[in-house]
Amino acid sequence: MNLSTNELEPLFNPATVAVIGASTTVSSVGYRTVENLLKDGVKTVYPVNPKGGEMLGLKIYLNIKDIPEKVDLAIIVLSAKGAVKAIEDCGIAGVKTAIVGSSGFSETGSEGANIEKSLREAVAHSKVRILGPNCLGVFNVHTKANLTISATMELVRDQLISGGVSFVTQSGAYGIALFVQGVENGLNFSKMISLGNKIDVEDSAVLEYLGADPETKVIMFYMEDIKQGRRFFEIAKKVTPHKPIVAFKVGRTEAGARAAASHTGALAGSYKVYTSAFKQAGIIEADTSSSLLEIARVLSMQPAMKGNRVGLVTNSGGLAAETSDFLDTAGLCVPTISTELQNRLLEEDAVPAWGVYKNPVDMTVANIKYREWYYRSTKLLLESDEVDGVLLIMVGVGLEWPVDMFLEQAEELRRIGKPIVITGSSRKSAMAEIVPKYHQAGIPVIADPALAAKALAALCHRGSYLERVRA
Amino acid sequence: MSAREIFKVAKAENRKILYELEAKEILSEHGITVNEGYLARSAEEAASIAERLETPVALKICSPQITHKTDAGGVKLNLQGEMEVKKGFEEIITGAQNYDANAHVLGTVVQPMVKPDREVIVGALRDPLFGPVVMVGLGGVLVEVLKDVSFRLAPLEKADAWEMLQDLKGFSILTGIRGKKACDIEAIINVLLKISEVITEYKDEITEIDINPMFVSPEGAIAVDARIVLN
Repeated sequence: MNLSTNELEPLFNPATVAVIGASTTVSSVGYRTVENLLKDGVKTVYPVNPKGGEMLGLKIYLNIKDIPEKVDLAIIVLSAKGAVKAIEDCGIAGVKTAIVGSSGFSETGSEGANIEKSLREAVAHSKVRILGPNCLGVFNVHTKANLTISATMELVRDQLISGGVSFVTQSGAYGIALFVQGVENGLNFSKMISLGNKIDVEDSAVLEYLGADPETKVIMFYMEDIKQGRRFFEIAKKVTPHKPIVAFKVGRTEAGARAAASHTGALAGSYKVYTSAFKQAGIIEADTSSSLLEIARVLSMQPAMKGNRVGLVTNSGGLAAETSDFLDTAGLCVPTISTELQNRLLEEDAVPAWGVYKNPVDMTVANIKYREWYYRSTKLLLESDEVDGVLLIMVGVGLEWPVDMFLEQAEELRRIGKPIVITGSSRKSAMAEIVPKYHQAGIPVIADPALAAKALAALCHRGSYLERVRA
Repeated sequence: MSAREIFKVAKAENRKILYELEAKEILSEHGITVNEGYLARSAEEAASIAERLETPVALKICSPQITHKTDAGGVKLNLQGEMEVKKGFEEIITGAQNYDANAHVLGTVVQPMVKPDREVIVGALRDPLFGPVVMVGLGGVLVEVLKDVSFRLAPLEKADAWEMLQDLKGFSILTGIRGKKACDIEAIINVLLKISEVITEYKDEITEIDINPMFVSPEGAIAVDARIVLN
């Protein structure tokens, strides 16, 4: 059954949330979930447990049906069979949406599959829209509401900065780990949603919701499979002209050959069809979870690249050479700049006077005194019509990275409308101090040059796709 | 016969795989250029068709049970003159009986030889998740080893057809290398668009389509063999 985006609203922005299976045992999921909800972003929390009593200053209701007001969202942390009954009760109580955190369904085998069937029937009958089962829930970074059954999200609560990247994950634990990794690397999320077994709310419904959500600027997927492939494709095609989608699909090797009577059938491995569908819908495909995070981050921070020519500004010829190889593999090029542009760099004191700068622009000296060179070269390259983006490649033993200049002139550079990415490394402590400053200026720092190359390639892919759809 | 009539006949005869000539008729009806072919039920008939065509001919076994014709020794190329054609016919029939004694053999298809240039494979199928899908690839016997193929979901736009060709590692073979002239790429694109129409239109009846090989040259694209699998 196809959901409207309105039906999903209570899943992301509930005012009243009940926890069915709430528990006074401090280490339990039934306790933790209530505790999470009380942190922020939720108006009223209702613990539910037939034993009744009190917890965390709240009355524990015996049944969802006893709650005196309409509940937007119920988070269910009972056993699989308990969850089926709970959904029936939610239906009677008029609860709009539910997150079923319980496991023990089809992922465990045939008995679980039978319970899942009962759950499907309960959902159809009760008209409650459910996320899961076997999922972790939703985290809304704007409202800071932790609608998950996990305590892990709380570990990074203080580091959260709300942003535009919404993350849809099919894996619970791994999804949360990636979320935390993202947060710690300067990825500003909007929402995170863990889908679980997807028996009701699935990828295409969530994609449609996030596509229409004004807070979401980039949509990122960690997926193992898609339930409604064609619908997902059609919706993605409508979303990508306005917002980038990046997806990492796991499970590319063929588990079972397709039974086919033709050559075509024999050659059409299911992963090949996925990757073609992504391409056709303008979805950027990431090849690893790290590149998924970095591509999403860069897409949210920098404009698309209108061509594939990259200008390199560096203090290390060696790292620049290594990076050039990665750029080439990623389908980008490092063109030799014209003599005019080379002369301009010299004339405008953007480079040391004793060198030749064909691209890469190698300063050869790592010296704070000359940090204006990095800024001026970057600006001149971007302003010329010979490159479509600049990659700064910096190695530093001390604090040689010219961060202050870039911070001061961030607006100026942003106005040019071409992407800037920084790669390279320094000592851990130096990076910890420098990198957040660049991120504040909106310039992503990606230490691994191979990953930086993939991120730039994604910006380039985005640019050529936009050109194709707007033509 | 129209496509729907062909489906009816096949259904009545309990066949899920259409004969080459039936498949070609449907494709031709939808604007795909096919290599003409005629069914010969006897050696004499084969010889008389060959005489009428006035060109060297190819003979191909026609049997609902024999789908991998080459494996069954069921394809003979470049036959000229009454003697060769009759001998070729007989050898194919005997070979077929040795390959599968229970196969029902109608005869052979007789076709004019097409001047070889480059080969592509074009196909379509119904993916359980994504629905109708069109495929194109560098053809020939090595396609299942090299797997230089690309896919797009139907219905195709012209830009999709272009992009899927450009995705092929061997695309430059089609556009011409070492001084060889480019194939008629527009003709290939036309076939892709048309096969997209066929797989989309007959969504209840057709599950797979194979055009293998399709010979392509600067002069155009011609489907030399075709298979359609029904639901």
